[in-house]
Amino acid sequence: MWGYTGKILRVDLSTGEMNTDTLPEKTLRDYIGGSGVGTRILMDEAGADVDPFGPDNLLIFMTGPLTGTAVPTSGRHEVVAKSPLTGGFGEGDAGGTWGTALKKAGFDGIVIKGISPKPAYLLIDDGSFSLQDASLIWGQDTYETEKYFKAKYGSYLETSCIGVAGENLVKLASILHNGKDARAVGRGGLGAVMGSKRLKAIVAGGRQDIPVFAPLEIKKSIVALAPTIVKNTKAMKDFGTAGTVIGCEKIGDLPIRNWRDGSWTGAKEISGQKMTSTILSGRYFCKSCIIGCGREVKFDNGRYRADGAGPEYETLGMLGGSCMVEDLEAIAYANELCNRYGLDTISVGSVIAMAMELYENGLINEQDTGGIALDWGNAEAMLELIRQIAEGTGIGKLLGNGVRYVANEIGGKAAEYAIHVKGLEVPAHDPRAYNSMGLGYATSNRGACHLQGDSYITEKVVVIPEIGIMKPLDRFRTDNHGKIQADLQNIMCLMDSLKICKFIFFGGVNLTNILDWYKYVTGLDIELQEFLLIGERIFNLKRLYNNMCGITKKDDTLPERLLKQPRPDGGAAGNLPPLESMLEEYYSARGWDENGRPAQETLMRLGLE
Amino acid sequence: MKVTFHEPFTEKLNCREWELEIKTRIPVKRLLEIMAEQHPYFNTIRDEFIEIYPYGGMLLLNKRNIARIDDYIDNTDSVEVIPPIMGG
Repeated sequence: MWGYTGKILRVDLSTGEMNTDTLPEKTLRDYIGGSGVGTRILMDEAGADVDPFGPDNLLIFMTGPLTGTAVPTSGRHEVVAKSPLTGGFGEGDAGGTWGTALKKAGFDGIVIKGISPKPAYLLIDDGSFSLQDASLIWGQDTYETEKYFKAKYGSYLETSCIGVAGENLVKLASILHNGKDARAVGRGGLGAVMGSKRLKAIVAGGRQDIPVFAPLEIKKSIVALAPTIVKNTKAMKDFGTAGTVIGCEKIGDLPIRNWRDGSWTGAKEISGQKMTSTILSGRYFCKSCIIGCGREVKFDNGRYRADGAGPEYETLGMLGGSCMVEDLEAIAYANELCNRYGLDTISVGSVIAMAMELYENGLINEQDTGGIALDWGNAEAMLELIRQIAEGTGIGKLLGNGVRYVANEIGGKAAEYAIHVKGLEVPAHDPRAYNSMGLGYATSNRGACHLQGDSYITEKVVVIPEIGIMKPLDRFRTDNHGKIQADLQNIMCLMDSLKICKFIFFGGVNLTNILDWYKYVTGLDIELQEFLLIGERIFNLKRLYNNMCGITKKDDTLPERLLKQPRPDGGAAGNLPPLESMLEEYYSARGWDENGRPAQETLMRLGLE
Repeated sequence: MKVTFHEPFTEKLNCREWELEIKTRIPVKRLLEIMAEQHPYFNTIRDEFIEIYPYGGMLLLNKRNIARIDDYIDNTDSVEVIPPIMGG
């Protein structure tokens, strides 16, 4: 099929056996690629009963049909596995250049099982593949690992790797790409799955063409749309996602003091605007991107230093606002430490903020912390905890298991400070500032995630006429949530399967444009309704996987603090998301039963029976 | 009508607040034009601040609602000017 190389690589690390395989055309039509195909493989070949760290868990790297084409923002890939952090469905999406490199090496994806008897890396060079000894680089951070491979194999091979956190099976570990440019598959502990397999890295590249059905049509479409994309996203290029920190604080969206406070004067000190005028050294564009929201920073103030990717909004929200750290350079250094260790900055920020609150309330003390005073805003303490989490030492050994685990271990009031859904820490957007995000978090298949429904974009600036959103919606509305959330989750499943960045919506691109790109790349002639049905099928398949993991309606909820305690002041003061009524609408729109399971007729309609 | 500015607008305008006298209900777009008439900075960023609103800056009404270009406002409303909120 056009848009695909037609091959996936299967690797059994236990035996060292490797072979190429083809995916049935029906699978590609029904699940597209990336997240969709990865989920189908996880469901069919691993099942839900696998131990996330056992040999039978699969670690699946998948590109999509758009990956590596000229379609704007399509330089992306997906990683799918059962999550060790949540015990349910796990996935992550990354930009950078690695997905394109894998496809140019001749593969749409890699399915990895087993556990290597010794540290290994997978080398995929222009169609050939081999497992290599990684003993020399085991223990190295992600920046050094990438540098090592660039020196060894040349610059056209790209590296996906874990750092020390993944090697140590820290459940907050991520998978990093592009060395110091640090594009991450951040969430759900997939870096620890890679570590459990003793797989340090996948190094891939090649010079193979990616077959596209109608390249001239793609070019025409890009020429028509690019000026608007570039114009609308100028602020993202100028200030990065960090440019939203000030606005998010004003509207009551930024997490502050572990989601307790409503406003914070420190926001302007850690903003993208401040970064631009101080430590910014450049802007980063993922492959095929014309937006350029990535930040590069470089500084050394004697105390803190960084040379590489700068902090994104999420990092600033969680390590800054939620921990009350208003020192931008300290956060940029913390960001670099997390990237080098291979740690998810969202979950790390959340668990450190929780530790600060536990310390404040006497549930842990300096004996527990090894003498660290975990006061709000203490940047040095934050940095030390990051080291301990990655290395599995001190109190970091406990914290590295995520907030749900910490709450269970400490007991009592600790659960109030653990801000998560289904075990995944809530990212830096408050559902009390956007009601729809409450429903999105509660029903997201990988746990609290802002990107699986991405509904808040339709309450800020984005319109999606194809699903009836003709103008931005009211963020505090209390009804009309169910179908909109379901539609948006289905669309985001499409984006994660095609492999295209969700930020393209900010450029004024609509769903019809995206469908056109899919058609131009694959040559498949499908209608919008069928396209949306594919997204719905993928979302429901993930839900079925979670159902098999024991996840049902009881888990579709929010932490007490976000559900019952309004922000005391600021731009979202007094508001609480009406979760119960939103869920009722949502289950009905989804065609799920009262326990949160897709009904039989829903499964039949989607071909999932 | 009280118009409050946040970074980076405070720095560009060298002030935190304006008091504007609005005689009738006006659409947000008209307010943006008035702001461009009042200060050369908003005039120089007209293309991104007005023409593609809200991609170059956003207005927050009465500390709660993100103003839409066709919303109507009057003297009783408070307006805050914030940088655009997009990705993240």
